[in-house]
Amino acid sequence: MLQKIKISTITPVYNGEAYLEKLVLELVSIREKWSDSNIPLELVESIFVDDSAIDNSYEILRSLQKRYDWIQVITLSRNYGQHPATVAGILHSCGDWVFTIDEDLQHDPKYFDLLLAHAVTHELDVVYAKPEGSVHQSVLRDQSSRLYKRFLSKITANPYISSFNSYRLIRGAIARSSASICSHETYFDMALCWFTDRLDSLSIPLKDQRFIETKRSGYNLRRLLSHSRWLMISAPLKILRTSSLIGILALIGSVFYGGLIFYNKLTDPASIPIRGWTSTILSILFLGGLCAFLLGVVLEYLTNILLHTHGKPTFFVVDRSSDALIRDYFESEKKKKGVSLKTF
Amino acid sequence: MFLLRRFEKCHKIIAIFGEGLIGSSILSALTASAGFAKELVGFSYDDAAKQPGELRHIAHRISQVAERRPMDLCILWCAGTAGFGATECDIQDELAIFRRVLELAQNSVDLYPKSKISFHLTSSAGGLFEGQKYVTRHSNPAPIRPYGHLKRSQEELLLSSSARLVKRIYRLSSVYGYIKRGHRMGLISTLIFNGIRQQVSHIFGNPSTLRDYVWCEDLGKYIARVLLDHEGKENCSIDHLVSGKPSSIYEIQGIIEGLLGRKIYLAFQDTNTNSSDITFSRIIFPDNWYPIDIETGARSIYLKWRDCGSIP
Repeated sequence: MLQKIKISTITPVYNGEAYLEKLVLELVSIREKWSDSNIPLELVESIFVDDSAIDNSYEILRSLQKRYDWIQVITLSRNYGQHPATVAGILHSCGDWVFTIDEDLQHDPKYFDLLLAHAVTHELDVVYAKPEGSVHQSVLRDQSSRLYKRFLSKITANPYISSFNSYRLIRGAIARSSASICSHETYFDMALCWFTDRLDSLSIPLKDQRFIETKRSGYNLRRLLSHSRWLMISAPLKILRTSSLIGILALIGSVFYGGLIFYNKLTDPASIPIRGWTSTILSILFLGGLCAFLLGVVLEYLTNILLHTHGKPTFFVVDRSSDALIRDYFESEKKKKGVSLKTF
Repeated sequence: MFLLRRFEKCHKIIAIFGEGLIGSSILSALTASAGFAKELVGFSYDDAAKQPGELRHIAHRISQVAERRPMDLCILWCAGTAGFGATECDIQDELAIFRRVLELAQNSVDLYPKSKISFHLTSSAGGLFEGQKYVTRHSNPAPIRPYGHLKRSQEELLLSSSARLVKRIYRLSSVYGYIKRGHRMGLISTLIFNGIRQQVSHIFGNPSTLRDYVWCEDLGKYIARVLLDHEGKENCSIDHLVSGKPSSIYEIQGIIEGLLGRKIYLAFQDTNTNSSDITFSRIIFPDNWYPIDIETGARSIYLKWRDCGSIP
């Protein structure tokens, strides 16, 4: 019997009654395609997390669950938000690889093969879908999102922030371990970065159909701002280290310059026309530098405590040996068809 | 073994073989609610020579009730010392004891035609479906190790027994709960136990190994409810008592470290046979089965052991 790599999908549901049936049909077609071919993949479960949906989504999911026994519905006790719902879904999953997709068909499951091929070919643990072109077909919305991510990427020590997207492919073990350490203030993608640095993004066409058609999004401005704050809190800021560095430079500078002034005072007192001003500035520089440096040290300690509280691991062991199975399949298909992996 | 009796229109007798974690939980659930008279009857699980005589004695105790009026006799098998590491030899001994107890049930069916006789077997979902992910109703048991074969043999023996014997099989995933001294500890209890004592726990598996864990009191309450159900219509049923939520060892480590408020020490011994995942779909839940989450169960164990001031 062909050994199959198990795939799980996770979809947080809040306001998706209009899209759920279509999404499940897409998943059915992927599942059947994999099942009918000799691809070593099996869509073993699709987990829908009912995040206290405000519409008829729960009833639709229950009826879909009756039709397909690989659909699981998990109901959260209140509306926790997209990230906690994703985390809950991941913690209920058992797949070797986990896809996280949105409810509104923005993330087309037909690109699953492509993302998987990219992951195993480049020995990655996480692949984010990178939107080709405009997702929302709104320059303001797309550009502000892109700029904010770039800004955060600059001020934190994390180069991957600009790739973060809710359409992700994650190695199962890493997904579950990252999800298990997430507290209510941990940004899931930041937690992923603590377990792996093999992250990449792949350009695929993504369209937020709901936003384009209705100009309504699952996220309002308040939620977007809260999301940004959350991301900032989870990431250790490079700016803290920079401020400590500035502090210590000011401290060293003040001591050095103070020594120079003192030497001048002893050797050539006439070169100091105004008395008292230099020493005042030097004192401010010295004390200001000392305060900035000490504050930086304290903040470094706090950051360490915060990361410890968030559950940043000392190390994590991962087994990537089963990737060879999928890689071999994609490579043999590539040879057969004489095409690049991107066309799968 | 324990013999529970309750005198009413139809006498209820429950014979419980096995006083370990599962047996104790069922016994607690039964005695907490149903007003049973409890009798401890000697049964030598590790002495095959004594067992026929002891079983005759148990049959005699049952007959004292049955001769007067019809009864509802439930024989529950949750005994056995064989675990995942059991050898072929261990399982043969255990299967022989099981056969003798099943004979007691079959004989009762023949002796008391007006009575309702049922046999309840606690089997192992982990042993039967080892290495399988997302087990559903359509999954076939495919045991890998002797322990799994033992459980399958027990199920087959029961299912092939007299048609008049009501058969109830409970397939359990990894059970955890308050362990007593001398009993086999599961992963969760071991981690809490060693965590309190600041000792190293040796784990056969790797941090990503996925398993399904069920809380002993959930099982106790569920099986007690079935045992007390007079109206059970089906002659044969198989219930999968699993949580439906796969948990990695890494996740459990985090939960227990959170409970204890400090790091726990783990040493992993990763072998191919022990690191295979076993997970179940929630779709196979029987009606009225509501398992609690690991965090709540583990907290109960920790608080009980902490409040006792000593560890079993």
